[in-house]
Amino acid sequence: MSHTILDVTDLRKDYSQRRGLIPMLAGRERVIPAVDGVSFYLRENETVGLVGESGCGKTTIGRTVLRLTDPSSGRIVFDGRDITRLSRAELRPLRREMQMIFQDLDAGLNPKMRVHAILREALTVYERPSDAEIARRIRELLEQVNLKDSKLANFPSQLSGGEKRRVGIARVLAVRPRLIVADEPTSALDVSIQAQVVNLLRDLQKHLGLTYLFISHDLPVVELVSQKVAVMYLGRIVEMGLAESIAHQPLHPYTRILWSSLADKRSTEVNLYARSGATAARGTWGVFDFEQPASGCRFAPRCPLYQDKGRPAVCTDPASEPPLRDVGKGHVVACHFA
Amino acid sequence: MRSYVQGPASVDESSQLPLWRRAETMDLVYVGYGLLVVALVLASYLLGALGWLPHDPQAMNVGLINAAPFTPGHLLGTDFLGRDLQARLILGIQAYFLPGLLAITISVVAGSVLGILAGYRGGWSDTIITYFDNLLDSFPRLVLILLVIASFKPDIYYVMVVVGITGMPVIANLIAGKIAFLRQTNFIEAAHALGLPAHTVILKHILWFNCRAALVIQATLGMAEAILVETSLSYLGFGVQEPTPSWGNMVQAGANYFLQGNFWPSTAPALAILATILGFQLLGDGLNNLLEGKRGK
Amino acid sequence: MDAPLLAIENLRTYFYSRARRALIRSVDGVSLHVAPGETLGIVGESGSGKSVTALSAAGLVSAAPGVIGGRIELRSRQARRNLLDGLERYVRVKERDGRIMAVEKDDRGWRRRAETLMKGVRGKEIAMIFQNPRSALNPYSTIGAQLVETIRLHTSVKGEGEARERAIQWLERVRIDSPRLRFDNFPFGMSGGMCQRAMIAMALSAEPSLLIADEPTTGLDATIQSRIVDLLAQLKIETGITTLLISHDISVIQRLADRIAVMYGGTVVETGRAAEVLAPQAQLRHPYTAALLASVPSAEAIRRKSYLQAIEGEVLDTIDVPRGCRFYGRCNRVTEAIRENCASLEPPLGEVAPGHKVRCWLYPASGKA
Repeated sequence: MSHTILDVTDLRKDYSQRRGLIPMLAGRERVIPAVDGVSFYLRENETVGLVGESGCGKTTIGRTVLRLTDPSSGRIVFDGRDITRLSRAELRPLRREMQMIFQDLDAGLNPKMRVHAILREALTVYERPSDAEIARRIRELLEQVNLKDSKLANFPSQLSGGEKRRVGIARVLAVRPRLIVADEPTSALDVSIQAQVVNLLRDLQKHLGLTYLFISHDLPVVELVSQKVAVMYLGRIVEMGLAESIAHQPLHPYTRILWSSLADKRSTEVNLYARSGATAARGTWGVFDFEQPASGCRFAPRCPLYQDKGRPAVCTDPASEPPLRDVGKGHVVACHFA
Repeated sequence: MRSYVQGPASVDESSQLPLWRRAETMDLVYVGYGLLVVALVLASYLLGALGWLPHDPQAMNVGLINAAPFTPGHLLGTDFLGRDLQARLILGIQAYFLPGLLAITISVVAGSVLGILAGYRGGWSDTIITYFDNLLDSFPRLVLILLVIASFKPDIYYVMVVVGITGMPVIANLIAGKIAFLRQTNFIEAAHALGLPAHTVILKHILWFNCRAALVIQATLGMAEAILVETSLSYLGFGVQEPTPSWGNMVQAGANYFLQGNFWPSTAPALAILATILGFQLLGDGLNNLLEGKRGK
Repeated sequence: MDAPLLAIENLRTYFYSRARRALIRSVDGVSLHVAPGETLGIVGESGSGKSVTALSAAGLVSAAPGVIGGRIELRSRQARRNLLDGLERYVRVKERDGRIMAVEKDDRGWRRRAETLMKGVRGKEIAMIFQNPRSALNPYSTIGAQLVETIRLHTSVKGEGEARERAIQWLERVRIDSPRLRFDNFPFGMSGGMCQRAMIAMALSAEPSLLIADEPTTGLDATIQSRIVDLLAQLKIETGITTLLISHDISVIQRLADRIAVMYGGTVVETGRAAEVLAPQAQLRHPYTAALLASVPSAEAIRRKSYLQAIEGEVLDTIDVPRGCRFYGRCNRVTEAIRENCASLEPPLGEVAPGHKVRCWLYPASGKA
């Protein structure tokens, strides 16, 4: 068993919404829990996929575990060291070991700097290498991310989406990280480029022994690159386990809906089924969007199982939000009926 | 009919056309004229400071009052006391040059600090600074200046401190806006994530790379503003006092003879004001179009 | 085949890049037909020209020079006309070696004429739904008021009360829960999926002959996406609306389209019946279509944890359009026998099977066409 590089326990992150001067002075704030008690761990050189819809808190988890934003409570242990309350100065040397790839292709790329200057800066954040060493490292980085030399003289605005992504990855690799949080690394790219980037990330993992927290809503890609997958719903992990079991034997009704919505889009069989108008029969799965977390199980208002079982009281009992239960082989699920 | 012509086959992306070839002719004309004015003002300021003037600006010649331009010995003519206008115009630059720089320095430095506090730190400092900016913006500048003059003394430096302070909100908003733009693309967060210290992010990435052009532009426009305020006040008699020349008090002094047909002694400084303010304004606009792109593009 | 409801012939829509002083050949000779009641899906990546094709058909291209040539024939019951009729006199192009090198366009004259031709067509005969529904809805007006306005403007229903009933019916038809309550909602209080439903209701309530759906699911969550696709599939059965569907998501196209056009670099590279073009075992297929299908991880690839079959290189920049096949630089199926053709001559869109055309030198049919 390889060594645990990141261990997150009962992580919480509340966002407060301030509105104007008066509520600020009066100290009245609206608190929204973006991450509501999440625990997971990453082993060295493995990939954990984090899936869920927008607003479920998956990006916030990524930012919080890297301490780009401070957790409200919980514990984050990186490589055996508790980093939950470290100060900025104490964090700085650790930063180089944990990096983030942002969804936005322009993240970290100063629009007024050429690619060469961007990479040079990244190489000199923690070290003072000689010019010759910098030149060697830049060549090495370009090779690693498969980018042409000629792009070094370009400004970010002159790069295509795929090239921006490669520069962004090279910039992160420059500090030689061990853990990378990849937040929707492909969602801003064209389909044909997405495949290139997914292959690149897997290559880099193999050669550099990287560990990934792979945040994405693209289920097939997550299933492909991850050993473990965690499914989030409104700030909580509702199911977590090996990628194969999450994909093929999902237990939580929400995970099933996620996967079936993918299957709906893919398979022509369901297509014909829909054409006959039969989809309408699945009414309860149909029309709803973001809702406030209900008391009890937060998924109950959208849950087909809750409807099928005749709305059992345990699902909406404020005292019993279903905890994550182990159902064997490291597969955990938060549902009273799974 | 507008035409769109394919340029030389396959323009290499990395070798972008140089700035002056991409630019529109009018912008180049603006900037060219503006730079000319700046050079003239700078040279005249130095001449005045070193005392290298074509004439003694205070020497009166009652035999040659309100002389027309190109009078022998007086290239730009003389005023109502027979003093050389050219020398007085050159010396008049002393009245606004350093005070103007002071005003610009105050608004750029303090405005940048406020802008960074508001945009970079956010939270309560953003709220407070926004309110402060709105307060300053809603107060009539001239009233504020007269208030300062009334409570202290009619000193141009006091006035320019007020001009500098009232110029801060523009700069602060500009910088906060740039920071907000960079935040949108997660630029700042990514810089932190990489481990860049805050001062590098602020000084190098925000101010130097992304705000320097805008700051130069604002400084240029600020100079135009300072000249306008100084000349208005001197004209009204609150600024530079006779016999020290300032363009404003020269216009005022000459105005008495305007209706008698001697329009030149007041027109010459008025034209100088017009040409100089126009120069700074056009320089600012032209630079804005060249460096920041037009119409938000 | 029925006479098409919409026939686009040799459409060219160009833009101009000031920074690079070059023409962007966004849509470069596209021909498409949509039969009544049919859904034609256009699939392609960014810069393929798929959205610009749709915007051109709706007369919504605003950047210059814009549409510079072609025919857009609309044959609906209310309007039968070429939407670009007589516009050629406002445009002059200079060609060299069969390639447009300069465009002169009288934009004002063109706009005036084009607006006359579009009168009673846009919004009424051709309705559109967009990627970002929230920005297409008026934030200061309730969903209901906007629907009522559309209905009274474009249909024979003129009475306030009657229009209101009709609007509520439409909200029901797009499966919005408690339509009577939602009627008075403003767009900002609604989620993305709900806004898209309202947008669809708005488009369809004008009873158009043609619906243009430009990336209707992009930017929505996966579960919402599949519900919107479900909805579009049901509405297609219920209303029989002719649809031009644009998406980069091949699975959306797969579910909804009867026929498909695959676009790359401003041209159609393959077109045919959906089942044929996307059939897993299809042999006669454009290498780009094949690569697009392969770049989505298959169950097999996931199981074996194998690498994805990526298309090398970057999406074609429609400024530097190559002389030969536009996909040549990224193609992995070039053989020695055809290499010369691929590099120097643009292949024609040749018929490889009845109704199935491919623009590729691999297929002998292309040579004969």
